[in-house]
Amino acid sequence: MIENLILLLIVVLLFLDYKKVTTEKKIKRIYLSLSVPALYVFYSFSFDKSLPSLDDFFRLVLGPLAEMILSWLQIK
Amino acid sequence: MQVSKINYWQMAILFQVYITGSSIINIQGPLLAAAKNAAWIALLLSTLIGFLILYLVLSLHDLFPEDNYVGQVRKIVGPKVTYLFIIPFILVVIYVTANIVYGMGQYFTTSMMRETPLYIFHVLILTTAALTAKAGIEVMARMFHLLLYLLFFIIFMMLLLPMSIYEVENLLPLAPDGIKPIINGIYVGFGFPYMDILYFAMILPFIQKQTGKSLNKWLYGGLFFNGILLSITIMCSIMGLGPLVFMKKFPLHLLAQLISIGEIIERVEAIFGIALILGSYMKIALLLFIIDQAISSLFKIKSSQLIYILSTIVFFLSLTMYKNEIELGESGSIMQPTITFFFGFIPLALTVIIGKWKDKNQKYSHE
Repeated sequence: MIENLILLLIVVLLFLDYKKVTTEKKIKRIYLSLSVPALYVFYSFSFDKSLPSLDDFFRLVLGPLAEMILSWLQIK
Repeated sequence: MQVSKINYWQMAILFQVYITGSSIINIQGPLLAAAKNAAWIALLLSTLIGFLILYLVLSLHDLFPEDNYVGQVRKIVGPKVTYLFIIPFILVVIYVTANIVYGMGQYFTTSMMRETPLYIFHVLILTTAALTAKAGIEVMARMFHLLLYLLFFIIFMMLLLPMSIYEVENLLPLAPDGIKPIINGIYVGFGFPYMDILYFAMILPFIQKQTGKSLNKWLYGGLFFNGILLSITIMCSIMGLGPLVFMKKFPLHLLAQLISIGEIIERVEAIFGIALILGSYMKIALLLFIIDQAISSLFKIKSSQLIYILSTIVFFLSLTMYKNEIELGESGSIMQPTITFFFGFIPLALTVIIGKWKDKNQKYSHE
């Protein structure tokens, strides 16, 4: 119940914020572009928490190297 | 439009808030796990790396004092490479912010308010931080002044009150497992908190220039104070808790639990919670401000327009990135130093080298 209420409040706040800030076309475009990752993480939170996140992206790019460094540091 | 400016002292306070705010609570656990008894030495050594990062940041600031990091990168390496450097930079700052939010929420749901859902803490702290960031740098500089004193007062009390249980012998042996745990500690300290100094480069152009005064000595002095303070908190934790200290994520919390003076001052760990909220709140507000500044400068739009949507992204990200505290710990100690090195330190170092080289060549052509 509280969770849904918070989500509803966030949607209302963002809608009002969007209306207020988008006087310039460029800002409007960037705001809408940022709404895409916002919707993705919202979907991930509400429906499917197993979706890849920013942490998974970084692990994909640098994970093996980070593990290699750590294993070297932990060898006595 | 009038651009907000802050004076040297306010900038020094913001830097202290930024660099000490959340680390004074969060750094002990990961460093003690990595470097054991030598954690305080590792922290002092990683402070030296912090000095190097600050030197690089201030070198860029000296070249282009009116620009933030994004503007400096654009002027030095050109607009196309700027996107290559700054988009990963923004992602890293978002990632670091989400980590701090999650760390704060996890502390409360695992140690103090177990029945309250995680998202309640996240939404409350992010709403407050977003409103503060929206208010601007001047408001933050004035407001955090008092909060920083309060934070330091709480920390000093938490270190002084359990003095009777401190045992200096607990500090020995200094490095029983050799040099590698110390290097591991330096590696952890590099990722958090010292690589965060780079993100602060987004705030430096807000300084109001004063003739005859130097910003550099304030910031170097602030960093020195931070290194000493953090290593003292680690030493006190080891002296007070002994071998138990290596098993706890928040040793200061446990230290606060042990405080007992007469029957009046007992179990003051709730005060530790206040310090954690204060430190995290100030740091999150500054980081949200920094992300907004970075995106606004990158796309050359009016600033402070994107703070709410960015806070929403951080909010959901902080709730979905990790399943438990262990994953956050792994991410902070293993991934964060590597990520910040590749997406933060290397672009910074390259920009400084190219910037200095270009500056030198221009001077030569004038002569």
